[in-house]
Amino acid sequence: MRLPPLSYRDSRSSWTKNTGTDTMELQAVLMAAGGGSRMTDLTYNTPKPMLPVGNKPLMWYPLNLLERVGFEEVIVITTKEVQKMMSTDSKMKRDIKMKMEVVCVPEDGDMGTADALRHIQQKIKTDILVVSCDLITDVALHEVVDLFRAHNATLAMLMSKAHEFTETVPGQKGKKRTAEQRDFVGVDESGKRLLFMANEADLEDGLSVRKSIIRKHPRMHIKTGLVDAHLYCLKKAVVDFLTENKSISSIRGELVPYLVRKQFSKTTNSQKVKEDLEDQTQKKNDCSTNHELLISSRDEPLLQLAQERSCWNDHRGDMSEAYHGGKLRCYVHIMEQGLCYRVNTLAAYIEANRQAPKLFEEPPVHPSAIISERCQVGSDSIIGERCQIAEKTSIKRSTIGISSNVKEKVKVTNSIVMHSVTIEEGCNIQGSVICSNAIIGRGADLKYCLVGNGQRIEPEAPCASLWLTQIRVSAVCVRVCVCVFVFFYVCVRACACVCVHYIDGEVREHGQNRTTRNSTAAACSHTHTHTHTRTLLTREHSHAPFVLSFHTTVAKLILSNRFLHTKTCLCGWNTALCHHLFWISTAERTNEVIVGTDQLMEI
Amino acid sequence: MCNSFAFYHFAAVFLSLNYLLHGNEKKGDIERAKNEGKELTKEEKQRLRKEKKQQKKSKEKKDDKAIQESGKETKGDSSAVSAPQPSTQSTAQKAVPAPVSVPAPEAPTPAEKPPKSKAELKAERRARQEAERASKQSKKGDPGPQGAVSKSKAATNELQPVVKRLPEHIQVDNPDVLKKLAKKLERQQIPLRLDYGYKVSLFSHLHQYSRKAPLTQQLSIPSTVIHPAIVRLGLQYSQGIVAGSNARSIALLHAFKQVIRDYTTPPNEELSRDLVNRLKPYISFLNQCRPLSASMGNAIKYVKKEISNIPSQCKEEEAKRKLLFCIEWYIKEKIILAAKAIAESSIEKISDGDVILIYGCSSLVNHILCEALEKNRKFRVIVVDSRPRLEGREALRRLVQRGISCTYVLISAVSYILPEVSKVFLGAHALLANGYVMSRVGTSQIALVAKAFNVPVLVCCETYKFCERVQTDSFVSNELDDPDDLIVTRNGQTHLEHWQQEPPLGLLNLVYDVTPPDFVDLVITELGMIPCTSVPVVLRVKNVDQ
Repeated sequence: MRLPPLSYRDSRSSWTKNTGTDTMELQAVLMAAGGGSRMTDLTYNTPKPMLPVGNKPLMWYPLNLLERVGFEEVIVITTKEVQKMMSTDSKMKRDIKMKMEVVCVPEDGDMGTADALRHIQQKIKTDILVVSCDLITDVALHEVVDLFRAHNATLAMLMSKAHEFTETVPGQKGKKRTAEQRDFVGVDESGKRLLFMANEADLEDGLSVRKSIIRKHPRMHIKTGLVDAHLYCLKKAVVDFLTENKSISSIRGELVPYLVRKQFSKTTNSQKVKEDLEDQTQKKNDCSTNHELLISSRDEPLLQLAQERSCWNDHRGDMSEAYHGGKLRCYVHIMEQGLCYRVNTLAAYIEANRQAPKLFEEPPVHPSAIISERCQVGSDSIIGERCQIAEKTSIKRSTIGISSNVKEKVKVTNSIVMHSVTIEEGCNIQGSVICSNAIIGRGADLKYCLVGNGQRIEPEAPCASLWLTQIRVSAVCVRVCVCVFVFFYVCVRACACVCVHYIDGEVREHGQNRTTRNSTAAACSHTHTHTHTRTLLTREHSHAPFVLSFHTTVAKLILSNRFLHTKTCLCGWNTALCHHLFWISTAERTNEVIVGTDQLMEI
Repeated sequence: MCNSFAFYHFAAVFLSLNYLLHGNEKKGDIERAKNEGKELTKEEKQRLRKEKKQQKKSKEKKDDKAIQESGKETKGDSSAVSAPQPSTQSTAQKAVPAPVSVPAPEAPTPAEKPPKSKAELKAERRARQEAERASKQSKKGDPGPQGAVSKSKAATNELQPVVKRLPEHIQVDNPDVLKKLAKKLERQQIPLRLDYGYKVSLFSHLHQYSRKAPLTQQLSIPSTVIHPAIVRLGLQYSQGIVAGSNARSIALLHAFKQVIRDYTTPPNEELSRDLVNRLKPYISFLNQCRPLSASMGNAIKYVKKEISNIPSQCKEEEAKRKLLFCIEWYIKEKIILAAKAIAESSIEKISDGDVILIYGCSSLVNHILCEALEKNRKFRVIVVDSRPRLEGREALRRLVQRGISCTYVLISAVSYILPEVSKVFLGAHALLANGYVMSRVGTSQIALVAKAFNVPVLVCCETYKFCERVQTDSFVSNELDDPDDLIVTRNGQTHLEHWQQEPPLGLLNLVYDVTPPDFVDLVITELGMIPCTSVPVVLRVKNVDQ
């Protein structure tokens, strides 16, 4: 965090140069240690911060945002793995001129964002701006920071209208997720002051608002449909508070709600301190872990005087002074328009890839890409470095990653192809995500598929709505192809029969896997292919096993694992396999218990 | 139009202070007469009024001022020539009197000296000033009409020397000045804030900013050029979070304290010089966030003087300590204690049973009323308010909270409420050297109506708000607030929302106006109660003190 020792090579008068870091206005902190637990299929091999979006690592976007507005240095909190990748990524170094100070946190430890802040507490000298690595936005950052500045706020954060992801997502159910927890955000009449915050998950029966808020802000607007961008301006005092109060481990989950709540608690309202002493001392006791220490700035009385003399008030309708005399204030800037994505789900990832080109001015086709003249590349597509695009190929609304090789007569639409992917002749890829190093065999027809890292799709494979990730059963040459077209025909071609025994082994292996990786959703997803059809879906939701018998020779096992609810869907053609199916479901059940979901399979 | 208006500025603003300081008891009259004389030659529109004043002037002729008067008479005559047909008065005729006015003052000035032999030094000095002004006027007078027709380069060149004396912030319609300002800001690394929207014609020479486009959007985050305390303050100014002369000054000094604390002298530099230079860009930044108030101007002047007074051999820590102390002292002495002293003397003026009318939200007046309540005076307050800021509500809140019984009316009802009022207490943004009171727009109207109802008008003002500027109208130097503030949303309907799209429509959100001393019975300062006309005396004493 040291600046170069007072340098005056630059004649420009900059107060920071004289004063060192102690009085810098804001320090930027990038949180890039998250595992991406909601998109484990993508992050199995590539850590989330390094996922390519528009051929740039995801963390480039927040870094670029910071750099664009004028930050000269940033503290990056990340894992060893990412750090290694960052140091090898020459492109990133070229793009980001900011001074980055990388701090590693242990990978497996359960470290929340607030823990991470506590971890770097020594480096924090002033107020901080915390950004998550999965934020892609074109927000005018000064809007947030100005709220922080003008109101001398303790917390200023960014929220955005939630986006509807309209694109079909590989493996995603066609229905809108009901499991999503809504946030209720209460703001005052100006729409800036953050008064209230609650998550649907925390509400047992109905929304209750404390009287102290209502008394002070009788007209509160409660908004839903907002996404927290995970961008926070925090006073230094909050970091100090965190070091004292070790029970808080996450910023979004615990610290922010705490601060929002604290705005209206009595201890922060200096006027009402005149309570009986007992109460006081009692409060003091738990106040040692409390907030009063926080909110004070230099020359407090003078500032108070200026506020007293000012004829401004933030509210009207009651008899109290501006801010109701409270010192702790939280503000939120809500983006009504513009880009703001948090890339934490597959759907958001796909959408972000589509929107990302709007954020940078670079030409969509990298100059070092070799593109045949006789192919069509839409202007809405991005072609990465050293790509080779052969003749008669058409690429529309897609991203082709670095060093990928697209052979002749390939049609890529609405897809994301990551780095070093080879797509052989005559493939037709639509609405799919193909992870790095995958090889798509000749004439494969992929629709709404997700192909995992390093996978190999055999020639002529028609796959639809499929997740091909981490199929370990290499011995049996699994080319699992499940067709979506639910109603009465399941197209299974070139499929070696997936032996139940193998899957049995697989399940067990996956169980071990889980314990080592210690991540919940990751447990199942990278083990199996799964698919959803409309019928399957409805059946699944009723938590019933699903057995399809059409034929007598091939059995198919699909394990779906969305939303941490492990659900087993079996479609078979042989009633004789029922025994095995039973067996599997039991295994699955044990898994589930470990996973900790509450939905148990019945079969 | 523009040029003739610039002309007008000149007349109104640059009556030199010296003249005022040496004036006798008739000073006020003379000066007004002079102003009016100037207006005669320039503001042809108000022909009838002029004539009337002309007669008045010729009546109060004195041998001491004979020459001056004759000069004016000739002016008057010249205008009177064209006076007979006011109906035919058109823009074309505007150009006519201006050139006439040029020879008029020039002719008498050479003749001034021989008969002046018996006059004292004072008169001579005045004559010299008169001559100077006349020559400048002639310089300016020429390009005036020319410029109106076509802006030749020669004209703008000739304008230059005069232009230099006009502050930048009232010449926004002059592209040369704007260019210069832009250059200066570039040098200081301060972004230039762009004017917003269409301006009402008479006010095109003033800045008009939009609150929605704060200067910070062009600044880097974190700000490296400007100290964070200053950035914060600028934002608070432009958003109106810190509003009111006193609050703004205190907040400014508070920010300066932080700047000084964080300051370290670069090697090979002297604190007294470097720090002043350091403050300059900050001040121009603040000035763009919202034009500086007179009180802030005085505070800045004081801080700068204190900094430059620091001897070069003084150690940095020591110097900083000294400066911080000085700033503390200034706040305590000039603002807090002054308010106390003013409260004490004005309480004498509040007697039991009084009905006091106040306007807007003056922190000083509020303070006085609260003090009076504590002294157990029985009185009632009428709070008059006006759109768009509705600051009166805040005053009302503060008074009612203290338990003072209040009535709240809008300014449109002021003539209705005045019969029951026994005293009018007004705050001030600044007191000008000619005794005019600059205050929140509407104050002048209140004072006028109060005068009509024979209600005494008392202005409360700390002396640190006294300003050496001279101004007789609210046009020349004023402030335009965000015109969007005038947009009203009522019952879910927003009127004037797209006012920018209506070319003939202009919104004017004026911040200040000036009240002539005629309407003010008394000014209460910490030095005591004085008439408005004594402002120059106070200023002179202050100058001697410092």
